[in-house]
Amino acid sequence: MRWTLSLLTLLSLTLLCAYAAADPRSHYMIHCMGCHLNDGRGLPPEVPAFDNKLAILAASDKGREYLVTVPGASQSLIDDAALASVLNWILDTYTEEPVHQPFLASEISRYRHTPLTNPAHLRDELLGAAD
Amino acid sequence: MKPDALIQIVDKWVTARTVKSARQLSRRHFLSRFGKLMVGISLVPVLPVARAAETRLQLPEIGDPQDCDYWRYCAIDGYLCSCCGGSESKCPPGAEPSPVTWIGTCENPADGKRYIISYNDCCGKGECGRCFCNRNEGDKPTYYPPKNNDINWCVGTKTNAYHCSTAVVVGVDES
Repeated sequence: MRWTLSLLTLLSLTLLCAYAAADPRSHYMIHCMGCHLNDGRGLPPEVPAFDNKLAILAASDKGREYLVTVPGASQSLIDDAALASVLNWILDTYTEEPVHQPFLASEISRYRHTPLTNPAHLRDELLGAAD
Repeated sequence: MKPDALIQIVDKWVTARTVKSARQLSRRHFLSRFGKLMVGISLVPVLPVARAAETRLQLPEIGDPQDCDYWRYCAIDGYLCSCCGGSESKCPPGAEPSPVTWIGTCENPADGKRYIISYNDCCGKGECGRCFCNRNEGDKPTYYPPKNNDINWCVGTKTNAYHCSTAVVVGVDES
């Protein structure tokens, strides 16, 4: 019984640490909020606002690649798993779409190393194509 | 008249009025309902909805905000607004805070926690020139612009004239 309890305690502590280690809101505050601001309104056109257009982008492969390769995301000083969790947090927080396919670390590593030379142009193209 | 005597008179009067109104008014009387409404209204600000608007953190403090060694300034680069007519978190009159900024974390020696600090520059006036402070904990080279404190962050303001820097605590680092 004692062993079971200790194991359970250890397990819950590990889960708690894993959860604490992956707090996406702190990552958002430290790595994104400086420019995208607390409420995600950004400073358009240089810093796009986080609004429902994110849901349009997150719905296509090209749009998802764009979201990962924009310099603010791809060059942020966090690993692929943390970037995936903060992107999912941003989509959950700033879009009205109830469901989006969550980003996984594997998808981030697939796209992250491709340089994006003209983010604003690609964004217009992707959103124009979606209209 | 002694203060005690006055209190007794007021007390007697209030008791008499309360008892009288309780005897005379029915449970459904307008006054009883109105009284409940007044009590209800006074309770509204206690509800969490109103409190959610307040984002200020209550945190233990040590140190002098006019001193470069103050814990929140662990990665600041500029003139301290607290020496320029503002404070560690507010711009001096006539200066406008930059909306965009760079964000770092500093450890608060009072509780050992790491806090997320937003280093908003205050803009629109000439350089303050007092209390220059340059500490670079966590500062990255200029090719990582979002993590660099050498940049003039007066962007998105009316003018990009730099006046001084603040260090606003925006949260606890739980990453």
